[in-house]
Amino acid sequence: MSITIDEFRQFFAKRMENKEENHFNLLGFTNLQLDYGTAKMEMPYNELLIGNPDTGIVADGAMMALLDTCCALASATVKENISFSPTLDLRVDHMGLPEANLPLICEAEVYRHTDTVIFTRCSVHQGDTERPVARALVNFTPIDKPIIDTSPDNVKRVVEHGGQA
Amino acid sequence: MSEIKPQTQFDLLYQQSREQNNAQILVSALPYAQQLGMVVERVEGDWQFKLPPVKTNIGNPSLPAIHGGAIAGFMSMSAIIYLLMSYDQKCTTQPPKVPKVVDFSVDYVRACRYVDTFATCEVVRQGRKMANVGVRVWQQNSSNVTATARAHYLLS
Repeated sequence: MSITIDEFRQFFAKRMENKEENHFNLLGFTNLQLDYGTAKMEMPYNELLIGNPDTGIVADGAMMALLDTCCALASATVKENISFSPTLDLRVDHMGLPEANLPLICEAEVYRHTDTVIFTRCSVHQGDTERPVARALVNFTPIDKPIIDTSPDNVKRVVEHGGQA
Repeated sequence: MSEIKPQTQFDLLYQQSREQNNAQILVSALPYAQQLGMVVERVEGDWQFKLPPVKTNIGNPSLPAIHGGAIAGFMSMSAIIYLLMSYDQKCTTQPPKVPKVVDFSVDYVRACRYVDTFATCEVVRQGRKMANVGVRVWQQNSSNVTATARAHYLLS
């Protein structure tokens, strides 16, 4: 039995809310939008993530964490039972320098999926969807044992009582 | 080297890192590298990068495992520091800038557990404008590869 997309959205929102020290809370993703096969989220500007001290621009590594997470969320929704799959590979093209001080917005979609691979793509922009600063392809491999417990019982527990996902 | 005039705080720290042959100074100059908790060591005549277990790099608390994005970020920062430490300073009178990533491709071949993680880099080709770098990440021992990457960086 699978959770619904609404429950999954609440589950991840709760996960982003908790104060636990982890990579999600460091990056502070906001404005999550999630539907079957698509995900959109933002990463606010954060001085801790600067990759070039002369320009103040955030490191490409932080952007890769954003697009990996966003594509992972989209990939989770196309499975019979909504659940995360591990990343197989990730390829990014940087078409321009982002502006410092502005959030990075990632929009991801699943464009094909089979029993063995979920193919996703995304673009990262700063408000103008016609001029993305980066595009990426991220592939996931579904496995039998999900890497994060998204069973109805656990999702209900996390959504109602918070705590560790 | 005395001809190169540092203009920014980063230029100054870069110059120090080269004069002292100490890449760790660059980590302190790059906020994201510092946030990840990177350590750079000289091993067998080459730079080796280490990512010790740090809570803020955890992506999956139940295993626990390091976030794939943090690993990719560690790999890219390793490549950037590696390039900065290997610039031929005789060829320039301007302090080099932080290389800009053009494209980056990473393959995750094993789960990245919450233990010490190491990276080594190889400059496949360095032209005047562009460098191609390969990065290899491993845990426990160097044959236990957890991720590999290749990337292009714009040098300026």
